[in-house]
Amino acid sequence: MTDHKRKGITLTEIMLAVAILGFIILPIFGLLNYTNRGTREQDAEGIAANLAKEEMNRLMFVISRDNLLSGAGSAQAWSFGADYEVKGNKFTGEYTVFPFNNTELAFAIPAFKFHDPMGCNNGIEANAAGALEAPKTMTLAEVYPDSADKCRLADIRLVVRWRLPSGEYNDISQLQLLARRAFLDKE
Amino acid sequence: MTRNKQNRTGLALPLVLTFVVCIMVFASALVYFRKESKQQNLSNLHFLQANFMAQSAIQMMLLKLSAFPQEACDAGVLSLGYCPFRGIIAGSNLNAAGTGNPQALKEFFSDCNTTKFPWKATSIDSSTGKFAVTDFKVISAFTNPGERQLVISAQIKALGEATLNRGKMETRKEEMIKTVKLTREN
Repeated sequence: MTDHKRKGITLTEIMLAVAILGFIILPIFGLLNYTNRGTREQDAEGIAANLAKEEMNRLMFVISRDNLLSGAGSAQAWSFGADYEVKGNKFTGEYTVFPFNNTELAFAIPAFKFHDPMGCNNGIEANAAGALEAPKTMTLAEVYPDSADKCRLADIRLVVRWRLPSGEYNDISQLQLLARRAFLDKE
Repeated sequence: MTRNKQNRTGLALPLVLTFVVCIMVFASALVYFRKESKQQNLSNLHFLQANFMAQSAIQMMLLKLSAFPQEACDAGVLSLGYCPFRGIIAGSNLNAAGTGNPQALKEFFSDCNTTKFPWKATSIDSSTGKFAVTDFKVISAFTNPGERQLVISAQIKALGEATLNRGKMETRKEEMIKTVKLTREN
């Protein structure tokens, strides 16, 4: 009498449900782990980019010429120090400065054909189209003969590396920034 | 008995299947957001590099302007149609002549780039980043008769390009404009 009122789950259904859950849930857990690690890596990369921007701004606009050029040609530690920690991740960075020699900085400058300026009424150039000669070239060493050995242009390469708490520094988790800085003297 | 078996309506399978579908939607969203976040990071880095490239071009141009201020002023005066040996006479209209020659200004900025002055370190791959000053023009000029000084406001336009060897992204370009004031004793 009670038999015909039973509605519910058979053993076969339960086994089938457990099998489906097993097949789906296990890979999903793996995926969750993968995305979780990926998110942490993305987070660390974003922080590394911000730190690199801060450091490059310092190298470009704040640090003095002498400080920047000391140790030029070899890798120098960045200002945050080794293993700088943010959110448990570790960051390290180094920059290398490559100074230009003033004798190799030969710039093209426009050359103007000399003529009597009084022939130009009210200062308006009488022959604007024909006022130029071929451009001349002049090095910064010629412009500043008294301080020809003073560096006025340098390339900067900054490399920032990062690692998660569980990882190590490697060649993949790193970024590089390049820039060129001029030293503008009031001379 | 046969009739009872036919009436059994189990809930386990529909429940599990619904749950599985929800989990899969959730997992897909996670993967999608991870990809988006990765792309966003690369995009930020790309922008950063291109921006520093453009700043580098501005730096080179400022160096050249500080080394050759006379030539820059003369070129600016000629671009407005005035005689570089006389300058702009006080009270003159800007570009009144209408026959300006911008060639000298073009020559002035033509070598502020990584083509003429490549990266100093040979280890730096030149395809990673390059820059160039793309324009230099006078936006205002006047003579201060009291101080016998020609004052020119000029605009430097620079373009920085960065290429990342990750994420299959195209070359990122950033343009930067800086206005400078040049003076020359008349």
